[in-house]
Amino acid sequence: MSKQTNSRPPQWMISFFRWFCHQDYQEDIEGDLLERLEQRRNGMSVKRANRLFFFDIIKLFRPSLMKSFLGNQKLIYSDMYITHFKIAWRTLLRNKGFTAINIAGLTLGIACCMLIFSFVNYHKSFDSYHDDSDRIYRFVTEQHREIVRYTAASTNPMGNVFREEYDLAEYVAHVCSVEEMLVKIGDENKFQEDVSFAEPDFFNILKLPFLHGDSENAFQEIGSVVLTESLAIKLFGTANAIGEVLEINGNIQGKITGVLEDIPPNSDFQTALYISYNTLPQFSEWYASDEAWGGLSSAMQCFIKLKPTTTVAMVESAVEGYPERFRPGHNNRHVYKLQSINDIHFSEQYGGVLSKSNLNALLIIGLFLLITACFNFINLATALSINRLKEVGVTKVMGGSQVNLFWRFMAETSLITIAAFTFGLIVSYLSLDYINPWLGDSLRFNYLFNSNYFIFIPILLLFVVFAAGSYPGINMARFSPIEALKGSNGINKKQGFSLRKSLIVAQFSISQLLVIGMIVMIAQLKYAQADLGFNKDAILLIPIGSKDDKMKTLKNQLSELSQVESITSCYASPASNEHYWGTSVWYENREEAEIFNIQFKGADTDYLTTFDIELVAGRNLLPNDSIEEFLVNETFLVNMNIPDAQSVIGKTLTINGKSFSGPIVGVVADFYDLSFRSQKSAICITTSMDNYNNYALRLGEGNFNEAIASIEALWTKQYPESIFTFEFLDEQLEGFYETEMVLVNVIKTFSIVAILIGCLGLFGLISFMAANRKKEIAIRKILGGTISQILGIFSSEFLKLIMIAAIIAIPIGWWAMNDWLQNFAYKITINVWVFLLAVGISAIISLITISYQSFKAATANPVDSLRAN
Amino acid sequence: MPDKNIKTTFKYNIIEMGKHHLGEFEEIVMLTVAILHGEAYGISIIDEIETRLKRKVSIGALQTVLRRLEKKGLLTSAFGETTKVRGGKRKRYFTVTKYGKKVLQEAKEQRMGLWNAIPEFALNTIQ
Repeated sequence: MSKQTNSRPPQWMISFFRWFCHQDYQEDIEGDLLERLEQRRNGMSVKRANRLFFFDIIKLFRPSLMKSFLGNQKLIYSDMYITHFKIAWRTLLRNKGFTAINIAGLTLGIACCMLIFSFVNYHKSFDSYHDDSDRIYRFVTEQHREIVRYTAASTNPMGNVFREEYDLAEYVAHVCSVEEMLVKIGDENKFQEDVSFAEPDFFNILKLPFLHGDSENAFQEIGSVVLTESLAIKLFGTANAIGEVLEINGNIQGKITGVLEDIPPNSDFQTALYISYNTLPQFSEWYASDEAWGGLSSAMQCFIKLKPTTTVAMVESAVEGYPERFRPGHNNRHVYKLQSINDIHFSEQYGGVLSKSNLNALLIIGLFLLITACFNFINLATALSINRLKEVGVTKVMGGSQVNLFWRFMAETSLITIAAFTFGLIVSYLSLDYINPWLGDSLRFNYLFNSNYFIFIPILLLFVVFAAGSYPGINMARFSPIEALKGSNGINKKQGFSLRKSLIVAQFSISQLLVIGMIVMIAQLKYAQADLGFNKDAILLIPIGSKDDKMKTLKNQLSELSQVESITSCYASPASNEHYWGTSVWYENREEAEIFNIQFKGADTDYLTTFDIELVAGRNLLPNDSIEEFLVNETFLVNMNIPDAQSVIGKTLTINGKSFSGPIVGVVADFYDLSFRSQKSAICITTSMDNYNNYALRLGEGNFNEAIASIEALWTKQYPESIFTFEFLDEQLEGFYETEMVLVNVIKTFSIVAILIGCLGLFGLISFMAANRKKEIAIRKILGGTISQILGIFSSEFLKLIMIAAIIAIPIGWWAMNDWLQNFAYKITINVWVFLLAVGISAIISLITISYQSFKAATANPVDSLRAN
Repeated sequence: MPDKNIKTTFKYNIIEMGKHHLGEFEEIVMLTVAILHGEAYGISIIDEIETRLKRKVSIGALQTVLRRLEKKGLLTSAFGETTKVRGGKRKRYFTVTKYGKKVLQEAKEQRMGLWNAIPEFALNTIQ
């Protein structure tokens, strides 16, 4: 006996054999196998015998000994699954309306999810393609004054000093980027291009592969130019433009020495034209200077690729002493840090495009939408399951198990989900064209071939099938067959309904939450763009062509145009994200510089009239070409702790490393010089022709296009060499809130989608309720119930749910939006009306949704309702 | 059952025409079954072939051939008694059918015919 127990082979091998082997041959072959095994066990180890036993089984795995694929004895049973799908298909066709509602809801949810995932995936991919991107960093500067200002720039000599003193980096490269420089080819062709002066190693740090030429030799000589393929085609009509010449900024003679592959869209470094760094002195001595430790320009960036053994801390501590050594006495204390290239796209401090928390918020919204759609499905399915009691009863009596019934229901769910997925993909693909402009980038569906999608889509599919299908499936499988067939409701009706109620409450909460978010965001953006303390409407900004008498002549000519109400030449408009010049300030004859930074705004005497800036005390500037007098703003007084505006008049102001000095002649009212995220700055306005960048023209009523055409004509006559560009100030200022605009657009769309999905579910549910309560309503009417009473029954039910949802949504919405508002220095307070509006919107839309069905039920002839069946 | 009759006739015709060629392994299996005479089942056939011909035979290979031969009507089989060994599984004993015997003999005669056709001197010249 003991021998027999010993000789028992692993059961799974036997099971495997029995699974595939033909019924007729099973017994004797199994016997043969066992006999063989016993024989072998006498001569060798059990393990080895078992192994040989297994090989014997494998060798039996041949078609002639296997079960067939058809008939009663099958290798793989598929009939039941096919039946599941057959029955599911019939059920879906029988309830066409509900099927359509379910598919529509899920389609919307899935389409939004796909879009959000594409969006997030696209942004996460930014600049991740550079080789060894974990070792690539950018020097950034923290400026410590009374507050810390973060700048993604480094001082001009930084890289050179670091490179010579330390051996911590594989490559260090400065790159100085200037926007919209004039590029001339021959005498005729003029272009405006963003240009970067780059050190040769820049091409070793970022992945910028050369199509023609090579990175080693391309940048040796002064005036060497490297450009991308598509820019080469644009400028020269050929991709291989090596040897062609061009003129940049009117004074730099360039020669093409290399052509780069086009830069992928998922990079924040989109400069297409590079000039060798040793050309930089021709553009600006200051940028190229080895002594310029004082100032900081956002144009100048320094990239570094660390050696594999170098850590961030090693570099940061190496440069820690630089401010002390090279810029002693500055009370604007610099701290130099490294920022990973993988962080550049997401860092809010350093001007990243989109923060990771925003991306996560989007993912959460996407999940919310999907959950809302699943809730719809669950709601309708549990409601409808009452109609399927008999089906379940019969199936169970015929021997169907709970598991069988559950999978039958899952088959239904997966049919709906697959349909919804197909439509969802189509919808999201078609909507790309509408969505891309808002998102400000090129979301493309060729990202579908990104490997992430092969993981994401199946997971999403399974998630939806199980999230939507499992509860109704389990619920239905549990029906007691006797109860079901007897005709009484086999389920606890009350319990079923309270689940449905809570799902509806959750749906309402989600949509109210989104609506609250949308209202607060829109209100805050309206607030931030309404009153900036100066007039930004109908103001046209055009460049200044030269800083000489021509400039004045043109100004006079322009001011004579009938459409121009007022014109000023200035360094920058009152609020500007293009030109920003902060500098230390000395008041009177104090030794120490003040702790705060002052904003330099060069402008002529027409600045105040053009922008409607109010003069609080003193007088306006006198006409001058150089710096003679100053206007300051009220924030300057606050920072200086001087309560009386009159008392600063006549005091001396010294700025820019003590190079500019003059008396204060007036005080102007405060205006917002930056976005509402930052505090207002202290500002000084002074005449300084050398620093003027723009004409700002206030246009009168009338056709702007005509006005711009006549302005361009005058401008081009004066500067035939250059390119005329223009921009409206209010449009430029919208750039302050680009990210917020994207978010508002996204949340606007998604709250509409959430409401829409909720409405679909509501519509389905109310139709079901109306049908189920047909007789009740008829009897009520016979007993004297009015139409409005019956409408009241339906609507009060849902209004109650909306109120419960509001109780959940309001505190969460308040907390989340309050958190969001902390990004702003100047913000709205969230009022009660925000919540009232959100709840009101959801209540009104729900009532409209249910009105059709409930009105139809209420006005139905009771005779018809009672006679039916 | 007219269908079945037609099939049988068809099969019979093929047999009559002597077109069935036994494969080499098929012939060995048939001969071994004949040797074992009533004691021929899976393992005993394998053991017999292994001892007599010194060649390895897997159960899979043998069973495939046995079933094929049975389907062709060269062998017939029947279950034996239940025993306590072999996990209580019955043995399937194979015997050669009358038709099988005829095919075997035919094969043998064909061989002999070939052997006899070889001239004596021709064999002698092969060193």
